[in-house]
Amino acid sequence: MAWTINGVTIHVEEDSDWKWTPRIGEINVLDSTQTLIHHAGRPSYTRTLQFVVFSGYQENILTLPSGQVVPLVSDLGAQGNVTIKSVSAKRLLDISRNTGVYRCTMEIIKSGS
Amino acid sequence: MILYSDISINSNPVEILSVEVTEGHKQAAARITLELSDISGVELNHPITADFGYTSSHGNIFTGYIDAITETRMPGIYRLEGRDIVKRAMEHFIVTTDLENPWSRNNIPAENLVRDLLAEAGITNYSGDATSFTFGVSCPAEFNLIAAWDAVTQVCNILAYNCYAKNGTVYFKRVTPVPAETATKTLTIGNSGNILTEEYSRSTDNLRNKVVVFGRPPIYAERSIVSPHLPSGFYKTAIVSSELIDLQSMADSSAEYNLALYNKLTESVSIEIAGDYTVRARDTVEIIEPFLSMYGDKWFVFSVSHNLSERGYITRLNLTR
Repeated sequence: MAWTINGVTIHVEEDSDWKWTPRIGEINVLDSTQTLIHHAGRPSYTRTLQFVVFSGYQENILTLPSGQVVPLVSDLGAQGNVTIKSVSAKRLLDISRNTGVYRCTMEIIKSGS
Repeated sequence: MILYSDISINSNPVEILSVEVTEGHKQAAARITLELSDISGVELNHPITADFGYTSSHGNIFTGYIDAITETRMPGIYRLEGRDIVKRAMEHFIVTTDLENPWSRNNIPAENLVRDLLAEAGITNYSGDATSFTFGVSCPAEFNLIAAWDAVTQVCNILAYNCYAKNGTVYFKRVTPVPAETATKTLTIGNSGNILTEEYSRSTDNLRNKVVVFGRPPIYAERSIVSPHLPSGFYKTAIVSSELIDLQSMADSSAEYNLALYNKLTESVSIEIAGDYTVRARDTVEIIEPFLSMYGDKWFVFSVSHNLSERGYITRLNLTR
């Protein structure tokens, strides 16, 4: 099953899956061999996708980071609504197509709540 | 340990990015600084309370009003600053239109005079220690064209008393910046300790071994004592002067109280500990720290700041004795 982001089909090559780094204050007491850990909440989940788009990169992918949340659907089902943190691409040589083929790297954020 | 914060503005809880509360023995009002991402419904002078610590243990350490709101467009952060309830007395100006009859009191104990001055600013949660000092004996104690807090400060300076707010109540009592016999908290190092950094210094900056008191003429009093920390025969002098001192006995007592207050070495310890909301200004703590040769030494908490942010909860203390 193909992946889609905001309804646009993408062909995923690499997926970091959701990452989450809790917000931790490390408190070091003098002459101690221990560290006090202060949990100060947690940020949202983040994820990095690398995928290929065979057409419509500039029209459909590059325009996605608009400040809106968009739905992400993977081969495992709906992944929720995500905010796009960054997107970058390299154009690939493909003499079989008239359209621009791009390999994209996209960082996304999803609320941790 | 999971950090906890419950900050309410105008009785509505707000979500914060960071909070810092500072209070001190000589600091007129405790202050709070908040960073948050949303200030919907927040206005200047809204009441604010701060309860923070850890989910397992927390408590209220600030009650006051919002003083200032600063907005930063990017990344969309608001900074609020506030002072505790004595802000009301600082901002209330005593003005009498009839100059022949200014605000005055006769034959009034000092603690009641302070009570009445605070009441002018709408502060009624008050606890004043008995002073045995009576103002307005030979002529009225008058105040006009002066902030209520400045009037209270005049009374405090004469009697070597202090006035401060704690948990929503204003206290008037004599608090000398010396440690009590019993410490409320032990600060130590090592695996079960809480000291993160420390610095110890001593000087004669604030030492005064001579006090001169001027009252309503010709009332005058002077007290002095030799200090082992100053050159032989050298005196550093403090002056107390007020028209409110209208008895010779009052001037004599004021000189003795203030000499006892000022005639000592300035010793201070600046220390950072793992956040502890129970440590408050004017408390007494004891330090166990071999590097400073302190094995249970007691110190007066001159000022304290509680800082809670994503980096954790740190309490910074300035201690004297």
